Parts: sequence; structure tokens; C-alpha cells
Amino acid sequence: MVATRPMTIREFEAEARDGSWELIDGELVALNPSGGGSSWIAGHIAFLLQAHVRATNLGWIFPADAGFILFEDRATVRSPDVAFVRRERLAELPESFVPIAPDLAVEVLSPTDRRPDALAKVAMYLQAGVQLVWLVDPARRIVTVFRPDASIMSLEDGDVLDGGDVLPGFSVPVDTLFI
Amino acid sequence: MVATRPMTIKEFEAEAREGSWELIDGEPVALNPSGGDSGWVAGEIFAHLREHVRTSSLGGVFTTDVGFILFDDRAVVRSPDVAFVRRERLPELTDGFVPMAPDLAVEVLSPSDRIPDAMSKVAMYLQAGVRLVWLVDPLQRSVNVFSPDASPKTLIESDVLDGSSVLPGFSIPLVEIFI
Repeated sequence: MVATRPMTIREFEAEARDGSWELIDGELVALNPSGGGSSWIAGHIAFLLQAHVRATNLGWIFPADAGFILFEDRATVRSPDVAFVRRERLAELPESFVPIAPDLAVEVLSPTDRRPDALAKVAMYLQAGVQLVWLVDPARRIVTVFRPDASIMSLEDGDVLDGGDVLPGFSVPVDTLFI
Repeated sequence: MVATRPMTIKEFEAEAREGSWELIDGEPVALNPSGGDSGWVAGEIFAHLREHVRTSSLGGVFTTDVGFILFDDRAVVRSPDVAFVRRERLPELTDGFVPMAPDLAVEVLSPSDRIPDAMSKVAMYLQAGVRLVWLVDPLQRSVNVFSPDASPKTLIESDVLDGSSVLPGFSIPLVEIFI
């Protein structure tokens, strides 16, 4: 392996490249395209969140192509499948990467995702201060809810997913998220 | 921050230090002592596993003071609160660290533990090839079960924790491990 100099966020942002990429501690990592099913579910969740956020004026919903600078002191830019940022934390939308970690990050597992890597991404979001993470598993119809200061909870058909303190008033039956 | 040279596993092993430490990618990290409650729960789980493994000859059960070398190519030595290694994989034990990832790793949350750090540890175990991880929360009286090929699963006090294919025949009602 050739040791290369870690890339900065500025370099990552300036350089055009094909496909979707994340920057993890200065290292470029390619994102696989999602499967149709998981992409549809991510879009559906974004749509439900967007309707709620628009009605309540709570903040911004982002689809999978937004990059978030997760840490002030690490060259890490990651893209949740869906993300929400409260308006108090982000008054205006930047043209460049979103300069803060989101309040909610949603990851929808795709057939090409490895679960250990998805959990590592969840852990990184929590370490970056994300208040609520939903890990959605379309194959098993399970949503696992992570918060930095509370128990992890896996929800299944018959349960209701809610926005907690992060998205007050938002709730959706888990079985309606899946196809 | 002063950049120091990463420590090797050999150096980590050779150097005497007070308290409990792990090595994470060359950086020694101190482990907080457990609270009494979580220490007690870890002891209960150890006792049940030990009993099952002794009668079934399945392998070895380790307490929290054992270091496992999780990866061949990373300077990482971590200590689950309880760990199990199947007999077929169990190496000739020496006084050194166990040179492989365990088959089962159990982490019991202590009041001083942060969920983001606990999740990083769980993800790292799975990335290292651990086949089953139990994250036990004595405060919430729940257990989250992680494996590399299934969604996380939340068990509550009225549920039964089982050993799946990693520990065939093992099961324990959770009410028996919480105080």
C-alpha cells in the first residue's frame, strides 16, 4: 500500500469526480449506488419528513447527496441517506458542504452494505453529536433507533417510529415505511 | 496536541501501567472501572456462560481483564466485559494477549460509559469478525443483540437471551441477570 497524504476537506470539495464519495479522516471512500428498494424507502422517509418539517417550519431535510462536515477537527465529510438539521442551527443553506453534523441521520441498508460498516457509520454520527439516528433494514423490516444518551431500540411491524425531542410531533407506523 | 508515534502491540504488552487499558489503532486508552451494578451483571453473565460451556465443552469464557488482538493488520487490543471463544479456534493459551477476535463479546454499560463509544466498540467487534455481540444496559434492563448478518435486536427484561449458532443450547431469561 502506498501511503498518501490525507486529503483536506477543501481539496475534497474542489475536485470533480464521478460517482458518490465520502471523506473519512482524509481518505476518499466510494459509496455504492443503492438498490431500488432501499432508495425508494429513503425517498419515502425524506418525503414524510419534508411534509412534517414544512408544516412546522422546524428546519431542513436533505436527501443522500448532501455532504456534512461531521467534526471541526477531522477531515470527515459523510452523506446520510436522509438528514435533518434544525433551523436554529442552520439559518441559511450553504452552497458548499453543510458545515455541521445533522440533528437526525437516517441510513437505509442496501444489499451491498455491510452491516458492521453501517454500524460504524452510526457510531461516528453519534460521536459527532447527531441526536437521533435511524438505521433502516428493508430486508428485515426493522428500524433501529440510536440516541447518544438513551437505550438503543429496534422497532418492527406494529411499532411506531417517532421524532422524539429532535422532531417533535413526527410519528409514523414502522410498517408503512416499507414496500 | 503533540503527535506521538503509534504504540505497537508488543510495546503495549511490555509496558506496566496502573489500571485497565485498551490499545486502539496504536493509542492507549484507559478503561473506567465499572459501576457495582454493571460489574455484578457482567459477573452473572460470565457465571451462566461458564456453566454452559463447562458442561457442553464448547470453548473458553474470558473475564474483562483479557486483551484480544482484534485485527491482523491494526494495533488494536480490546477487552470485552465477557468473551467466549469456541474450542476449535481456541489457541494454545499463553500469558500474552489472545491473538484473535472472540466469537462472542459482551459489553455491559456502566454509568460512566457513553453510548457513542459503546457503539464504536460494537461496530469494531463486528468488523473484526466477532459473530455475536451483546450490549447490556443494566439501567434500562435491556440487551441489544448485534451480529454481522442480522439487524440489531432489542430484548427487554421479560425476554430470553439465547446463544444462537455461536453458543448452541445457551439461553437465559434476562430477569435472572439483572439485580
